[in-house]
Amino acid sequence: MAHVLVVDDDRSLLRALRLGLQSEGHEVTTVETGEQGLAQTALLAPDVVVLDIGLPDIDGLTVCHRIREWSDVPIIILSATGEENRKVAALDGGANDYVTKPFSMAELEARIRVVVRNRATELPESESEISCGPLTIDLVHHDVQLEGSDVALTSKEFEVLAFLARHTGRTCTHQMILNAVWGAGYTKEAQYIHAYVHRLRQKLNDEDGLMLRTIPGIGYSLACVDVTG
Amino acid sequence: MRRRLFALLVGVGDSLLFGVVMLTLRSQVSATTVALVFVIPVVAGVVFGGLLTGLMSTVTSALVFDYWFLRPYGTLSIGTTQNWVALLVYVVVVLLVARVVTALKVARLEVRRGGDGMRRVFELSELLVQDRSTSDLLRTIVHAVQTVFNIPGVSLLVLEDDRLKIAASIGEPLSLEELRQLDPQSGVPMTIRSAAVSTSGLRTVALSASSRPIGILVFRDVPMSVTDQAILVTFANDAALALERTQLREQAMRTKFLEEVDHLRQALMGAVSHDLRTPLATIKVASSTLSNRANVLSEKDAHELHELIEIEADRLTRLVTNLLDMTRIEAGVLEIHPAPVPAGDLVTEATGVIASSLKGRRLRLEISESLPFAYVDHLLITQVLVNLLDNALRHSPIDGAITVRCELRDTALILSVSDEGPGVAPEDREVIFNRFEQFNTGGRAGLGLTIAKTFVEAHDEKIWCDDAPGGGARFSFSMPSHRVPAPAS
Repeated sequence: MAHVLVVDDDRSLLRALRLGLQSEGHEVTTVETGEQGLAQTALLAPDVVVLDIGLPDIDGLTVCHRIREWSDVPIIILSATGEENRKVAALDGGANDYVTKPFSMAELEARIRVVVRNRATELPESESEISCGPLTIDLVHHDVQLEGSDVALTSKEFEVLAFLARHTGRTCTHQMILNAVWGAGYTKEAQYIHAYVHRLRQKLNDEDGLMLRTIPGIGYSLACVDVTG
Repeated sequence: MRRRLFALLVGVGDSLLFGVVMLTLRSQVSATTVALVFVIPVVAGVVFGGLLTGLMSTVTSALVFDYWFLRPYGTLSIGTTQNWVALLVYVVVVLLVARVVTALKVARLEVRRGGDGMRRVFELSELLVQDRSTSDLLRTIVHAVQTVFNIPGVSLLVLEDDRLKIAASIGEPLSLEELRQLDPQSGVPMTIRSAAVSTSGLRTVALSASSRPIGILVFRDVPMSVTDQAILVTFANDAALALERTQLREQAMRTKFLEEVDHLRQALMGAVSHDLRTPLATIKVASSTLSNRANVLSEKDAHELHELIEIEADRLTRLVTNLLDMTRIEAGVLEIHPAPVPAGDLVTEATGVIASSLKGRRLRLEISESLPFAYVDHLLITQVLVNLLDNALRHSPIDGAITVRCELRDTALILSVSDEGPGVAPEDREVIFNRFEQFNTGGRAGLGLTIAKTFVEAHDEKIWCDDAPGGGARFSFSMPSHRVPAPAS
């Protein structure tokens, strides 16, 4: 079970989350401001930070950026706005996932489980091979196999797939993918990614997008599920 | 007729007068000199009386000249050939002079008339360039046509939904029958050209700009000179352009206004969504924990979760009621019902509403019994107080005290709620009441204060924020006081 730090200015929600997360077996610390959130993240080194995007003192996005300067602790954003652009900004700023208010305890618990597990199994950059469901990706030789048979990919297609595979289970924003594959100069060319993902899905027999999942308006994530049935 | 007779008499008179004067000098001057002198009454006659006077003067002076100044005197016989020549030269010269002078006079008159027309066009266009609303401009147009062309009644019709409607009229109105004739749906053919006269004796002048019909000026026909018709058409064209310009400007203003309203509505929607979702989040987390983890929850924890659900459900209910009331106030549907109420009652009622949230918090009341009553709509003002308390609860430390104070300043009661939280920066003290407007740029929204402001302002009173004496924020609002007459002892 994990140590969860919850940063939110709504006291009722904090109380409910404390009880809910404790009932799931987590250790819970709650704070009401961004400053306290930063301090407690440094002091307590929690396993996951649940961070409200609208805080009274510093904006949740700023808190996210500042934590990322020195820590890779998983961050789950609580967003009340329902606004895609703020979620995207949070994910670009290093948040691992988000939930939109109102959310059930089960939903939050599932996200916490995923980010904690991913962090434990996150691959160091030097890893040479990733297995994900029916996929095997050889990062050294740029080879991809689907259930043991080779899949011919262009180099850009491979890079997009490899980037998503390195962050399996995590939402990768268009911006993150563009930065990693095309370089820092690209900011608005999300349509490049759509085209490559479309071709990748055809080549990986994933037309329904069960493996290469679309997060509408935000980006993509790779799920390690067996789609070949 | 009388004028013409007068002109003839003047023509005869002035020549006779000159004849009598010259007769006294007949021995000293030659006949040629006299002939030259007789040019004067003729030219004077033409200049002052016109061609007719000039001609009459010519004939009279020719006869006078012959009778008194050509030998043999006292007869109309001309005598020598030399005299004949003199008389003939005189007549020819005088006729030529009369002709030239008349032509000059006509030309001058034309110029004056043209200048007059120009001045009228200028005055009319002056009326049109001023900054006016459409309705004002329509009135100006009909008024100008009426006074400048001296027409008993003028109407301006515009086409709306394929029917002609009277947009402005002055003086004698058009009869229903006439209106029906003009209506394109009547089936009666009608020419709407520049200044056309229809069979029914109505003159219609089309107002069109950018090849688009804007309206029609209609009046019962009166005699009009060609110049006046031209001026009318010029004016109609100018008026059409002015109308079009005004309409376009009003349209642009309306669009801008709608954009602003739209922006506000979006911000409000965002804020409503935020404020509704926050209590819903607590309710959902608490209820899902209760239903899924009932087996591991202690009785105390389960009780707390139930309590949270109740508190937040109350908050949601209040918010929805507040929003409805706010909408009604802004739509002008909700009326304020002020009545005298003790300030203490307002506070008791408000703290009762959020009793569950206040549990375990420190609340200080500083309200004197001797204060006059407040004269307010007590439901709305209770709500204002609830929102201020709610705001204070959320922004002060869990062990911080909240102070509710009421005092009398002049004739107004000032009710304030102070907390021991971080306070509000001076630059935010105005915008905090419209916080939702900044919603898109991030930070917290909060409709509670906006609603409080709406309710207070519906009473024509003020709400403001400053520093609490010991630090923290203080929100205050004013209420009119009401002295209840002391019971007779």
